[in-house]
Amino acid sequence: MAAPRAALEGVKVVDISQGWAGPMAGVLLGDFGADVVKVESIQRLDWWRGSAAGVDDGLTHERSWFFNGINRNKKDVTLDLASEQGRELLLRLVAEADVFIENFTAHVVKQLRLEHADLAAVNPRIISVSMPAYGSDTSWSDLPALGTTVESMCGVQGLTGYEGGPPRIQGTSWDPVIGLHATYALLAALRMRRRTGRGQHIEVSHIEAGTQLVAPALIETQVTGTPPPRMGNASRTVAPHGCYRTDAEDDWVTIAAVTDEQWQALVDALGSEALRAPQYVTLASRLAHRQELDAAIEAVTAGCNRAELVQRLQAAKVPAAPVASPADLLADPHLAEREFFVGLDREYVGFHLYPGPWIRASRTPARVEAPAPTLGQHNEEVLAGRLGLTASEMEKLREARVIGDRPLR
Amino acid sequence: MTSVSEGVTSGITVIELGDTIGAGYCGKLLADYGATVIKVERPGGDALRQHPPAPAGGAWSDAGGLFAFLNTSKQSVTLDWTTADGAAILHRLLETADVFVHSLDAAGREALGMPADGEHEQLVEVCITPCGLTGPYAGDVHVPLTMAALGGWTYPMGDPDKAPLYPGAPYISYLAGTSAAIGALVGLEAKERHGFGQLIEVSELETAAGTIPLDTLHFSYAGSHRHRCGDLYGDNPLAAIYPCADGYVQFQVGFRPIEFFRVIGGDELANDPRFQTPDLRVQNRVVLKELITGWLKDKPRWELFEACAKERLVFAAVPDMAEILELPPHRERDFYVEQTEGPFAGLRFPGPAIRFGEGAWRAEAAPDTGSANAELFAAIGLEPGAVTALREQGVL
Repeated sequence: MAAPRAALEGVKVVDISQGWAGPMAGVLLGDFGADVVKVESIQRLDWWRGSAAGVDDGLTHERSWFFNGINRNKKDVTLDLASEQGRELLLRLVAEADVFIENFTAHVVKQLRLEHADLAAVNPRIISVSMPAYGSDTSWSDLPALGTTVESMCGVQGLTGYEGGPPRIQGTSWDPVIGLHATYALLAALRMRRRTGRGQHIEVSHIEAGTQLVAPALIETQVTGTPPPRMGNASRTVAPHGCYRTDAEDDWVTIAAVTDEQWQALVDALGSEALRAPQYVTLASRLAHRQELDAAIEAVTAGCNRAELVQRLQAAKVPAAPVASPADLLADPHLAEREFFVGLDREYVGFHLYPGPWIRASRTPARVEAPAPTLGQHNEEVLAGRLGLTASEMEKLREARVIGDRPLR
Repeated sequence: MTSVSEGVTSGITVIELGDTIGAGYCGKLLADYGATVIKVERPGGDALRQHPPAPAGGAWSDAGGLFAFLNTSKQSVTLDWTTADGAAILHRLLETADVFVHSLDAAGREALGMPADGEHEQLVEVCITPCGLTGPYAGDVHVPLTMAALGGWTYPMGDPDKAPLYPGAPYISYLAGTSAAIGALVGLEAKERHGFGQLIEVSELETAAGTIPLDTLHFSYAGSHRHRCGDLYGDNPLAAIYPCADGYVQFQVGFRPIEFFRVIGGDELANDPRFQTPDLRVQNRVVLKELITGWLKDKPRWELFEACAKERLVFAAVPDMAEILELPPHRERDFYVEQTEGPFAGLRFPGPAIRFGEGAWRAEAAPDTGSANAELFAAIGLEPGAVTALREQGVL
């Protein structure tokens, strides 16, 4: 049987981004068949290689699950972009590419002379994307930021927290928000280029893309003059809507009953007479007594096995789910049946399960062909094989530390 | 309807069916950048029209704020696609479309005659569901609270002595919607190259688990994982949210701790031998947290922000929503767009998520329920008499 065809066959990507948001765009394009060359340098590794890597024995950069988790399918080339030779080689890659991805603060690409105009000078069809935290032309442009601080500036932390309590760090999602918007933008620009023949520069600032996700809270604040309160696991419009103990230590279940039908089904499924009390008959009354209601529900759930309870409630069409730990996710029967996690054997770290592609295309499925590359793993293949550098030129580059496969310390 | 011929997605026609944030945001991303997006609603309107925030004065008209935000630049038709006549009309609309975005489950797809294997000739069908079309959870029902829990987002959040904490808003739904918009364009790219349509499937559960790979990988690599750490991020007092004189600040300054110490505590803290190395900072983290708390408590947020910005520290004030409307980067770029019509006229909605060097953006007011019925039903050849009859039967 022939291998399925790739949706992005022939698309060439040069990705100098680091961390999470930028590399995520590269990995999603690579999943669908784009050829992605990741460029870092032995002077400045992708900083995520330095995260969570364990005891420093000189190879920690190869053992970071942060890095290894979001760079599958890519080819890795090291080029010292601060050197003329490194920059020139990068531009030769750009000359043959369709897409260029970077996520530095504006002054870095300016300093490297790798702004869109520099790229377009060697390839007018190039589509480049930048992902500055606060926009490339604002008074905050050069401020450093990470996902959590941008979350704060977008209002996410302000909305997160227990009822009546202080804000909490959400800390989960902001880099993917930006990476996904950037991927969408690149695909849209590729489509437009087919019409115009021209490339272009795209900017996905964290704060502008991220603010989309808090739009209802911004609108409410303007309507009422008051920001929405932090509600913990509760809701202002739905009761019950909470997180409840089950029979094992630190084992929790979330339950909501949005409609009266769901409420009735929940009462029947839990079989508690206390829940049939008059104060719980209508939604308005349940909302008025929600703390008391939560306690009555937890009195039942605290004696229940979590998995059995969730199954019972879902069978009754009541929204319910366990609070899944990472171990729970890895062992989840649904994700296993759908082969969501993909096993990959990678040098230095061995075999692990990696979350796989979650955009599933029936006729051009996402592929996972290779684990995240090791530092400079594809120097030979890309620089010699594609750009035609001779063995002696490669050796000179190594001697000049323009390329390499071990970090300079 | 103004056409945006120069948008990056112009020329694409989308039929959107599904009263979910995911389907709505997917359609919005396509519509605001030029695509023609026809939203198919049940007679009576999309369920999200009744979702808060309510317009000023609490007087509901045709839609609340969530719907108004999610459905800019779209057209609306009403149709009961669960009837034979309604399904037939939907299919006639689909004949004019490149992309069909929906939130139907397997039974809903089957009822509409969508191919089980996704082997469309030309159509790109994009399906967004809670848990996917197959597998043990395929028919399960969820709300954002339960999906965040099931997808692993809730587990590491909150205080160790309290219940795990919901992440505050339905972010997973937006991520699934963005993923679906990517899927739509991936499907169109495949069609350009290979000449066929297909089914693109996005589930919120896999989106949730896929966008936080670090927690499962942490467990796989190291046998441990994040736990609830209250106001700290990863049990680190240098990555945390703290109260200050007029609210809260939040920072991640582990890369440049000494510079941070100097800003908040002067040379005394910067030179404190207890905090000079990473190991010492871990060893003395309780006292470090107490010191930071003490130093911050009587200082105003924006003053701290300015001081840390000068030192290029990763630092945020925690602004309230009113301040977010006025943040300098937004003000300087005229980011927000004032609504000129409809129940939210005079209010500001977020502007473009993406700034294209070439390609216009728009955010025309969300349509009234069924406001494009006459125009679009005529366009697919329905006679006025037939429209009237179907309306009387409750199909339109």
